Amino acid sequence: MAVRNIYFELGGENDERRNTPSALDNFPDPEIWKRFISGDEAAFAHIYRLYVNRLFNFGRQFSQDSELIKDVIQDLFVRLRKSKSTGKVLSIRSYLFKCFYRDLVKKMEREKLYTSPVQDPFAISLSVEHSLFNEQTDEIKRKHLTESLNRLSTKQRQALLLFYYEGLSYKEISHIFDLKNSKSARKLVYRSIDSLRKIFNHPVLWLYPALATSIVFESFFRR
Amino acid sequence: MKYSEYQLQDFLADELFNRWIKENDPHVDDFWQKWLAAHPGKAPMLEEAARIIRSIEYKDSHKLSTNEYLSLYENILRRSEPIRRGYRPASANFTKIAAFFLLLIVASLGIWLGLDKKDEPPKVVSQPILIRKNTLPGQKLAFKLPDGTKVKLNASSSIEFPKEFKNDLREVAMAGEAFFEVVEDTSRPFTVVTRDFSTTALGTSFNVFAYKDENKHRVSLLTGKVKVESLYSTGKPPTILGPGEQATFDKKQQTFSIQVFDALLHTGWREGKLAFRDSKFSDVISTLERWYGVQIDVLNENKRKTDAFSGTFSNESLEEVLKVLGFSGEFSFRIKDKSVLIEFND
Repeated sequence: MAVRNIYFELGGENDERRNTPSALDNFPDPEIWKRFISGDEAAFAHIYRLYVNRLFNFGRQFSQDSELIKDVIQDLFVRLRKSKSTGKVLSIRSYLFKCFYRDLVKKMEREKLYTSPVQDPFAISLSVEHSLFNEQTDEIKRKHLTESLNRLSTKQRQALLLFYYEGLSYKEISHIFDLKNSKSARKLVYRSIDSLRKIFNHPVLWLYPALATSIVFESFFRR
Repeated sequence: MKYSEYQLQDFLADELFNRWIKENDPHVDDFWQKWLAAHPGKAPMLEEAARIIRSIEYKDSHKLSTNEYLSLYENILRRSEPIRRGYRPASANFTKIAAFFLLLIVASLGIWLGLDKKDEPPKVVSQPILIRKNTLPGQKLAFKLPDGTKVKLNASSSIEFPKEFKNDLREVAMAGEAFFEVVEDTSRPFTVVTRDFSTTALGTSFNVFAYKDENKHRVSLLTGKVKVESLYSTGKPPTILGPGEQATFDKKQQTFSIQVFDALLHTGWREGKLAFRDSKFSDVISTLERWYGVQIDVLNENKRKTDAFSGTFSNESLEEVLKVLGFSGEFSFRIKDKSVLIEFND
């Protein structure tokens, strides 16, 4: 049923790839990047469509100044378009995040915009859509979990969002934040998760999975 | 440590596991499917981990507006245009290519600009052209579908439908609450798809209640006949409703239960009638928040003595409604702009 997909868009699907198929979707990143650097406008349109909102959202977590963030994105893309560097880019996503993060920090320092930082940088919420959290017992747990997550340090929340929401690897995360190696990134995530262990191991947690029917289970792992 | 010794937090921190959940990598999928088959006892733990991973998101997520999206794109193209004096053809050629892609994007997004969508992700609408209508908290909207079917959309709801229905099917997608008066057309059944189930009618009037933050989704039929079907049902026969009947969906069992319903309670909102009958406090709060577009906070809920609230209101102000409910429920309240504070008394 075609309409079923539309419904999931109403629910707020994050992956723009699924909403707007492009001929380049099945190309590996290095190939897309090569085309982009050589001036292929379709490759640029593809990259822009996939990443511009992700970068913008990421930037908005640091600064409330949308104009500043748009400037950084613009300058970054203009620079990349003009550069003829032949370096291989394995993951466009992490390359863009890294460049963008570096540029943003520089620009914010230069313009001393740290004076109006975001109140709640990288705050996490747990969506109800993807889970069965709307069961009442789960609701309690969701609240606990959300509160504990937001008590973590900003750096930890950053790492969690990049790892879980953006789907970046430890290596990519360590790259973006200039951490020593991917182990440091893993440590960051693992320590945050480990501090939530008490909630995970609370008996209420297992109430629902124990009741989970095979139907629900199937729909979880078959996408 | 081996995977078989992993606890929930270990799976959560595992890169390969996270990759399985987030990416569509057939190799990773193959590994986990096989591992799961060998360790069926770990299924609930994996499921829980998957659920947590999928539900993590930014609390404040920001998107470029359609205008910002377009002008930023345009600026990047303009600013990175190579300066080539005396070599016009190449430059013109480049501009042509750029203009072409810009036009492509503008054309596909243009469809959207007309739809009054502010902070939505840019996307290209493919055939058939879909129309989306949304209501904010406190708003209602009445309009007609391409086939003449009348729709009334309640607060905080969205509906999406094709600009023209196909020959054999009338299908719309909806989240929230809406009332439908379906134009009769026996050759083209009319279907409303919501999160968990679909409701199909030939020519009737019915109400669908399917807010994503509500547990009990239901369909209430005023006239005619409708068929309701779970989207994930495995060969279960559909449930048929007659006039005056209501189907409530049980998410756990993936089944419907049928009751007789109070029309005022479930479809009165169309005429601005707000009714509660032995309603739970939490339901009253979420209904009022949507109806009046406010945020309600509660103090001293442990002092609440009843969980059955009743009252019927016809186009009344929030203050009036809270006065009546507060009298029987023994709470006082304060309204300041869009936020409300309810405090239970001793």
